[in-house]
Amino acid sequence: MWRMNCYSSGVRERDMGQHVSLFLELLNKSSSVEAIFGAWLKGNGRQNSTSAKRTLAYGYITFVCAIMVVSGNSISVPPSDLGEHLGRLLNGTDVSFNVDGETFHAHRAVLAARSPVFHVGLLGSMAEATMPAITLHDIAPAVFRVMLRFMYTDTLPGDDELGTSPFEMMQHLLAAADRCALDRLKLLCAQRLWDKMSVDTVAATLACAMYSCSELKNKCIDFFAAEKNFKKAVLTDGFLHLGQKFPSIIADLRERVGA
Amino acid sequence: MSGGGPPRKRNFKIEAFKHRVELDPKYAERTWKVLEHAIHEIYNHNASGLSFEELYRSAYNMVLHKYGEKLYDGLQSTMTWRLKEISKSIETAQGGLFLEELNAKWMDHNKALQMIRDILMYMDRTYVPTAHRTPVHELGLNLWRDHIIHSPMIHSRLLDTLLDLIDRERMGEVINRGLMRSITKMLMDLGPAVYQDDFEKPFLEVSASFYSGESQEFIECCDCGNYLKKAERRLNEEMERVSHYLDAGSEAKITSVVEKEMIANHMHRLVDMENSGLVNMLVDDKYEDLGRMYALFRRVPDGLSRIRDVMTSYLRETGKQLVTDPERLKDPVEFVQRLLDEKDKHDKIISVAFGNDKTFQNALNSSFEFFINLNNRSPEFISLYVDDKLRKGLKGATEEDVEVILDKVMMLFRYLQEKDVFEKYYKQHLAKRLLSGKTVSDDAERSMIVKLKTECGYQFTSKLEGMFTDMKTSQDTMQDFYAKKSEELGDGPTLDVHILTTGSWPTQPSPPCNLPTEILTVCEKFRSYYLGTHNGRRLTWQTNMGTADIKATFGKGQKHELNVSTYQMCVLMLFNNADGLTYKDIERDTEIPASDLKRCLQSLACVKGKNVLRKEPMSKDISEDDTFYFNDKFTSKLVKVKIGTVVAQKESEPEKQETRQRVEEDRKPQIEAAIVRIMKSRRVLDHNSIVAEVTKQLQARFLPNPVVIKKRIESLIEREFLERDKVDRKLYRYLA
Repeated sequence: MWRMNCYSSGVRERDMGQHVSLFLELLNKSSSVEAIFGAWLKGNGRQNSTSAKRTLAYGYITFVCAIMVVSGNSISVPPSDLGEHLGRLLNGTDVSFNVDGETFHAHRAVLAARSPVFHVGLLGSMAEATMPAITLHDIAPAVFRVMLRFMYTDTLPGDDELGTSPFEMMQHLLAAADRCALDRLKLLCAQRLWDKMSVDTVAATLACAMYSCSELKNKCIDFFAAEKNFKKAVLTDGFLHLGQKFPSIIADLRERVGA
Repeated sequence: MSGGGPPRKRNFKIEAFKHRVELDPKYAERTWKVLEHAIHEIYNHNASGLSFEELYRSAYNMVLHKYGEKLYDGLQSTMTWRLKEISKSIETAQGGLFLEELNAKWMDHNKALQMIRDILMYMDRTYVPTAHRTPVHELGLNLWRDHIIHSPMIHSRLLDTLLDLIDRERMGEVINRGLMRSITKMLMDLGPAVYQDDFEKPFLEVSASFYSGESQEFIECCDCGNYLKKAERRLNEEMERVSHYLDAGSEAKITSVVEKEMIANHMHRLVDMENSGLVNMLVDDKYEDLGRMYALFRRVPDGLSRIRDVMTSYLRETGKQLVTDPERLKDPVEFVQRLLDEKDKHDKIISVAFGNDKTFQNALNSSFEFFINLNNRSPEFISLYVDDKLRKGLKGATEEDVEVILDKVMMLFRYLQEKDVFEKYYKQHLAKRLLSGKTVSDDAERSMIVKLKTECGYQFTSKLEGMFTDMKTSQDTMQDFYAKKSEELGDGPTLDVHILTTGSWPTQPSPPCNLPTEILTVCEKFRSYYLGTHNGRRLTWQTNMGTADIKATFGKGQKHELNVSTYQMCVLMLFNNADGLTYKDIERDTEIPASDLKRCLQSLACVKGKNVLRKEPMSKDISEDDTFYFNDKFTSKLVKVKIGTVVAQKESEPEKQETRQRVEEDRKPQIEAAIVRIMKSRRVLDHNSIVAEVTKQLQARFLPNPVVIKKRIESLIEREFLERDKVDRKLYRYLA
């Protein structure tokens, strides 16, 4: 609740009644509010002005005031720091992974929470549930490291931290995410790969997205089929390998292009 | 978490991506064999030795390399084979162990299915949706349903076992409820259709015939109250059964079976049962039984309306007998008390046993309304009841008690159709109470007026209030009179005047008789005093009312104070100047009307203990040839003797006729006013509509007779308020 206080002969003695004073008063007993406030004299048809001479009409003067409350009484809350905290978790690890000679320590509960595959493996009723160390096959340690980091922090590092070939890293990561049922990671990788889409990369990307990520696959096919890309893309080595490995792709493309 | 060694993030190289593992058909077959073996190990309870990582990876590779179909089909045939083996082991279980074996194997299957689904998770997420095949878990349930539950050897045995156990439990045996729970849950997990077709439907059929038989047995040997107890018990049993080991959806179905078989099918027989049915319960105030009947009958269609109908006809019958029984009608106060008691009794039944059900309350009200109006003396009797209470019945009662009793009376009042008749009698009785000063509490009187006003509006009570005002004003006037005129009056007789506004009071004016001189003097003084302060008014002495206190000295000097009526006073004062007077003398001197005089003389001369006059001859009746003498020999134990009180009694036949006639007369202008009001707003209306509208408008006071309405219309036509339409004789038009 606000109140306009108007003193037609000013408020200070030394003004000697030659000013009109306007004050804006907050009536609520709440603590503090930030507001933007403006006041001016209403003109008679012409521009609003702060000069009294032009705005006196029939002995009356009109003040117009506008108040905009900027920040109210809300309490600001910082964004989620769950990933940050988990990322710093070093103690209490209860399982270790053997990946091509490298060892990684982790917490069963965290991994189980993040991936249904790990959930079953680590907390289920088969051998791994009681084994202190587990060997993982068909995955590179660097890839596993990034995936593990993701499972704790929910973030992917930038390209500069992904080794000398970030593009290949993304492809491996996409397949790994698909295999371990980490859907968000999968889409993050797909996004990165899509950002780097070009006539040179489309075939390789398509090869890895074939079975792992249908969103990416469809986008690749669309990209391929686009007029300006087709001719060039079709002539790359990557496309050759693509055709050999996945003959069905040719049929998909044909359909898409409308040949 | 930590990686091995110092961070080497920026320096590693990754190979170009390609799928590592190649999978040719032979390799695929070998991979499948690994998985097949795992499935068997799982069913053999050897899962803990299996490597999840290896199995998951194998399935993943098969699906990735387009061998999803082979994997799925393999799963299906392996599981089918497994279940067929399980089926055999269940079939061979002996007697009581059948259900347990089935349950145990079901638990096993569920556990195995879970683990198999875990291993084949990748296939479930990718191959199954795209190939539109049934997901693994559902597949496992379907196979169980097809090869176990629907296997011919097991299917009927399962149903029979379940129904047999339920039957035994109904007969009082204790059964394994946990096992039952597990089995029914299994059926529900296999699909609601399985539960319903393979268990619930037959269960309901069997239950229906069970309860049909049992209810027949009970109804032959139990009385109504006990039968209802048993029905209630069975109902509760079934609900408990559902909550313990059946699916919740079965509750409504089984309860409706019990309701139908035990209650609906025998509803009429129960209500009408001799010596124990509804009417007996009502008469004996069997609240618990009635409450049970209400709760049970509520569940079946038309149950409550049946109870209501029987109750209504019972009430109407009893009420009718009550109001037409000549014995009861001898004492009006008792009569009304009996009505109030009946109302209280049934109010309590409805409140305690029928949960204050509004429809029952309405049935009670309509029944009362029906039979109270069967006797056209009801309005008079109710007024007499109030009169009795306000005269003496409420003496010493607290304010709350008074309110309670008056409110109950108002309830009966509301039932009356002829409220205007009540008004007439109430006025009469009130007048007598006020004039004789015989009211228990002014506040109680006022309270009753307020209630009547609230119920019927201002017009109903304006005259009654006028009577109260007159009494108060008279008091003030008398005070003033004595204050101003005391010297003038000296030692004359003391006068207490009640000044009644004509029109407010129900009294019939009659010409004044000859008052004794002493009285006349003081009366005249009062008259001139009053007319001095109230110009333009006219006062007439009502000598047919009023009382006098006379001091009398008898033969041996006994002094008594006699309380007599005005007429009696006039007669007695004559004997100050004569010892003996003939009837004709008295008649001439007092000018009291003949019938009143005869009654007056009878009370003075022929009543034992009050015979201050002696009559010759000593017959019971007064004849015009009788002579009267002052009775010197009069004795009484009391110093103050009361002769002749004006008590409200129930009217004699001729009086009743008179009152009724006056009521009819009063109704005529009311009907006419209603007709005029209606015609003024409608302008043109047919005969039947007028009758209906008039009835509606007047129903708060009385029920107009259509014949009377017709006569009034004709009278209004004669006086040119209305005219008949020239073409249609049944149509009337308003003449402005």
